[in-house]
Amino acid sequence: MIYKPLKALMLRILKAPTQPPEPPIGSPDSVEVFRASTNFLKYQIIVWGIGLAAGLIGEFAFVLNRHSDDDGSWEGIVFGYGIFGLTILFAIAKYFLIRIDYDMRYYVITDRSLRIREGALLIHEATFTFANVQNLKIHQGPLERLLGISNLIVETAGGAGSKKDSHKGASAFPHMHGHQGVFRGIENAQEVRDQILSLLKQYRDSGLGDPEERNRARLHQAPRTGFSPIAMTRLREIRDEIKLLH
Amino acid sequence: MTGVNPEQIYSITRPDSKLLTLYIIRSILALPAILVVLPVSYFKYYTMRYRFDEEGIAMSWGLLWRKEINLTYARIQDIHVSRGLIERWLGLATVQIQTASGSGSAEMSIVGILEYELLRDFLYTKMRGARFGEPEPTIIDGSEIDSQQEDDAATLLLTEIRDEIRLLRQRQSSTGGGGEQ
Repeated sequence: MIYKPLKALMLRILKAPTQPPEPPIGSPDSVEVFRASTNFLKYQIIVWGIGLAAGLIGEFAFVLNRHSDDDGSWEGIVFGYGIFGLTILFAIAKYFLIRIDYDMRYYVITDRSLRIREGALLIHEATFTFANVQNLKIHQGPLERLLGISNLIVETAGGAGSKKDSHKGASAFPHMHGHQGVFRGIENAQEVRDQILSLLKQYRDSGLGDPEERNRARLHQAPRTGFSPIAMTRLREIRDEIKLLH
Repeated sequence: MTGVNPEQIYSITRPDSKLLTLYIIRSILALPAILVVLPVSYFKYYTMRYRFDEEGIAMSWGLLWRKEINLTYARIQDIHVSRGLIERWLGLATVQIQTASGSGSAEMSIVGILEYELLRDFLYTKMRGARFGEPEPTIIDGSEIDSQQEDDAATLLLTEIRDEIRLLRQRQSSTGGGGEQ
């Protein structure tokens, strides 16, 4: 395929990292790095195809309409071909970007935080600790449902993104901005949600900068039975001594 | 990664001069607006100051309209690092820090830092929940010592009780044995 060498060249020009992002600190054995599902790539390509087809049909109708008005002048022909050429050129570039975006998308989860990195032109990396996560959402469109993928959205406290933040324009897809991280196009959204939720349940504060010392102390004491092993041995010895008293 | 030297972060007070290069390139790209953008961004670079300390960050800039932002590490909600094409060429990044305030855009954008990965890791370790469950010298050690001491005291007490009862039993058995004889 022409894609691979082209991608390698692009990444070198773009100075984009080829490795997955390094995980935030956490227990090393809890680090999980995963990527979007291959069906997410299919999904993106289908959306791209539909968009391209709609664009071409629209342009064809437009050019045909113009052609019937015009008398087939040179300008008309050049304009007609030009508009198709441009559309196809943009579509090829878009296709390439979709592929590269898919390859550059990484999700990392540890036992206390998560990190998402996306983008090829603008590389955006976000790090969240579970202590700050307010809620988890799962979004799925009909086409995504057919392909068995969904988007898991992790939100922290604070306002939603303003219009300025939605750099992808009027796109209906959830995307990352301040206070929100998105695991786009994953197959096991429920599993990941449950995993994060189970970790989230350990925190009993509101996730708004409350002191966590008390919680931590409570957590530390939770596994205690109240007696240390030595104290337990002593208690058993005392019981035996009293038994022998009879 | 855990070995982030805070002194290295605390010593950051000014953005790197590459930030000025970035601003100049951006101004050039903003073609017609260059006359406005270039001086504005030049003075922004020129007046930008950072202060990192044990508790938080302060950042200020501006010549005519001065701006200053202060925030504490404990209130950081999430950290974003974004690197555009020109930034990557220059080895720069924008570290955006979110707190729980209303705006969707970043509350603080730290620009022009070459050690952005170090800074990200440093801020991450200062975030709530990053060291969850790990012993933290200031808080955990105290309670840990307390409970350790409590345990020791309880064990000591139990040992005393056992010895007393053992003594009692031995005395009883010896007097009891004497009575039988």
